[in-house]
Order: sequence, then C-alpha cells, then structure tokens
Amino acid sequence: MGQFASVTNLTMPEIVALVVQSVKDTTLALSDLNVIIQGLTPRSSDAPPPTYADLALAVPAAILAAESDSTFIFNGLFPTITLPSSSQDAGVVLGYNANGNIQLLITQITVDLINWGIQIPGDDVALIAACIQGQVDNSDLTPSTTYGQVNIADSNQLDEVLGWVASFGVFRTGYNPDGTINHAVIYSFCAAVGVPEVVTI
Amino acid sequence: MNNVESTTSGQSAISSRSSLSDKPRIPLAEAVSRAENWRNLVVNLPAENTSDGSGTNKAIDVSKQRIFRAININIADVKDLMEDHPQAKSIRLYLSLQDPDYPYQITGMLVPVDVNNHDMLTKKSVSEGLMSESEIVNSASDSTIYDFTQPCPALCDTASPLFNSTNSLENYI
Repeated sequence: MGQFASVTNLTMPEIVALVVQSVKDTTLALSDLNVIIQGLTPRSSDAPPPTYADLALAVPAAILAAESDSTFIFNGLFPTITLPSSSQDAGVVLGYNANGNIQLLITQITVDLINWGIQIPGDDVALIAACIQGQVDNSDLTPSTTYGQVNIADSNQLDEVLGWVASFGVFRTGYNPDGTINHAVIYSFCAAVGVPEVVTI
Repeated sequence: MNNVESTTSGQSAISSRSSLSDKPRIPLAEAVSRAENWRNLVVNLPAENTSDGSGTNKAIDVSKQRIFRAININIADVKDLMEDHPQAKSIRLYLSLQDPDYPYQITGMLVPVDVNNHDMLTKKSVSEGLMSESEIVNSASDSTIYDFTQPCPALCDTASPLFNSTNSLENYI
C-alpha cells in the first residue's frame, strides 16, 4: 500500500518532515489536504476549519481531522462500546499506490491491535485490511470513512465484537516526469471490543 | 379527513398496509445511472446570477472530491425516533448548511411528520403556557429536529457502484 508514518512511532514533526520531503507540488498537495481537512472535520465542531497555506500546518490539521472523524463516527456507530483514547492510530501513508501490497496494511493493523491489547485471528485482520484498502483505492480523492465489526468468537462474553473505524483521504504529492501522479494518504484507525447495540424494529 | 392519509406526491409517497415488496423499487442499473446523473448535475450546478447584472450563470467550482452524494442514517437512531414519536407517520429529511461560508458541509435534519403531513418540530407548544415562543424555538431539548445523520462525504461506501458508476458490481450482486 505504501510506507506508514504513524503517530504511534513517530513524532508529528517527524511525520510532517517526511511528507514535506515527499511533496513535489505544494499547491496540489495543499489543495487536496484542505479538502481532507474540511471533509473529515466532524460537523459537530463549533466552526468549520480554516484553509491552510502551509504544508507544515496542513498535515497535522489533516491528521487531527481524521482522528476526530474516526472517533466521532465510532461513538455514533458503536454507542455501547467504549473507545479508549489510546486505541487510535493516525498518520500518513507515503508513496501510496492503489492495489498495492496489502501486507503493509495488515502489519500496521496487527501492530495497532496488539498495542491496544486486542487479539483477533489473522484472517479477520486480513479482511479488515482488504475492506480498508478497497475503500481507499476507490475513493477517487474523496475523503471518506469506513467501518466494520468482527465477532470475537473466543471472548468470555459471546456477544462481544470488535468495532473499528477508518477515516482517510488520498492526496496528490506531485507529478512524475512521465506525467503520472504520486499520492499519499492521511489516515486514522481506531478499534475497541464491546457488546454491540442490538436493534430490533 | 378521518382515517384519510393525506399525501402530496405520487406513488412513492402512498402509504398503505402493503408489504415492502409492493413498494416502488429501482433496478440497480437504473440506480447507478440516477446517481451518476446527480453527480453530473452537481459538478455543473449553475451559481446565482452574476453581480454584473448580465444574468449569465457561472458554474460553482464543485470538484469531484466534494460532490455531496448521500446521507447515512443509523437504523438504531431511526428506531429511537420512532419510539419517541409513535404517532409519526413518516420522517422528513431536510438538507441543511451549518455555515453558508462552508457550502460542502451539507447535513441532514430529520423531522417526524404526522398523519396530516405536518412537520413535528417541538415537544412543547405555546398553548400549554409553560414556555414562551422564544424559549421553545431556542431549546434543543424541546426540539424534535434530529441531527444524527452523516453525509457522504465523508461516511461513504466508496466501492459502491452508486458512489462511482465505474466501480465493480462484483461484491454487490
């Protein structure tokens, strides 16, 4: 999929530096990053976000927007599951390629879940990764959010599930000499285990 | 009007005791086409007449990244609304903008609608004498206008053929 620059093992200035280093067309990148910031900032916010003209400010703002969005959506979709503040990963996927190697994404999700004390079978992680990658690959530069839940078969409480949310926005980092475009992805991923809301109408 | 359900539109608004299978439905292929028509309309949406008085319409700069495509509504929230308003006949979704300076943050406002097609907007009424009109219209807790929808973007299924007509049907049929 690309190279993960995650807040779990890098500082924000380090992530920003990596993004700035990879961006060859600042105007293009800022245009897409502002779309991501405006698209992913939860609408419950007091005021819509400003338009950024500096990559060093836009990148953290976009990551924060993705984090805010995934938390907001998680709490709306899984109101009975408590999302610990620590159970959230965010950052940038550099050198993103559609239909790229999914193993990098599987590894990142696996590491996240281990960090959060969540154990699910590898097949389930692969399904989550496939879902996220499919949504990112098809997003056509539209910032978006996706979600899912996985039954926790080995849990003491049989009704427990893993609920997860991923917010993302693909942005263009510049053109190659042959005219092709390079991309990166702003992302946030969060997950927690609990008893899901049961709805019967 | 006793026991007569008043409706103002055509077949799709007719409410009877028919089963869901009797309701008007759209073939997937036509739905894909309709969704594409909407996206094409939005990206070519004319702005208000220009201020130079020429009356010439200019297109709003709506990039494909910003096309308002859909509104996601939680089933659980709909259930809660139904329980709070058992007398409601339907739910009306109003489109809204929280801030006109940010025209891409379109949101939905859900309103229960009674059997006479009247929006049910507040829990209290002035006639009860407990609250003034000003207090009622400015009270969120006494409002029955709900704000629990999520627009797409950002809550989308980007792989859906309704999101993009070039997307594969493979996982949906």
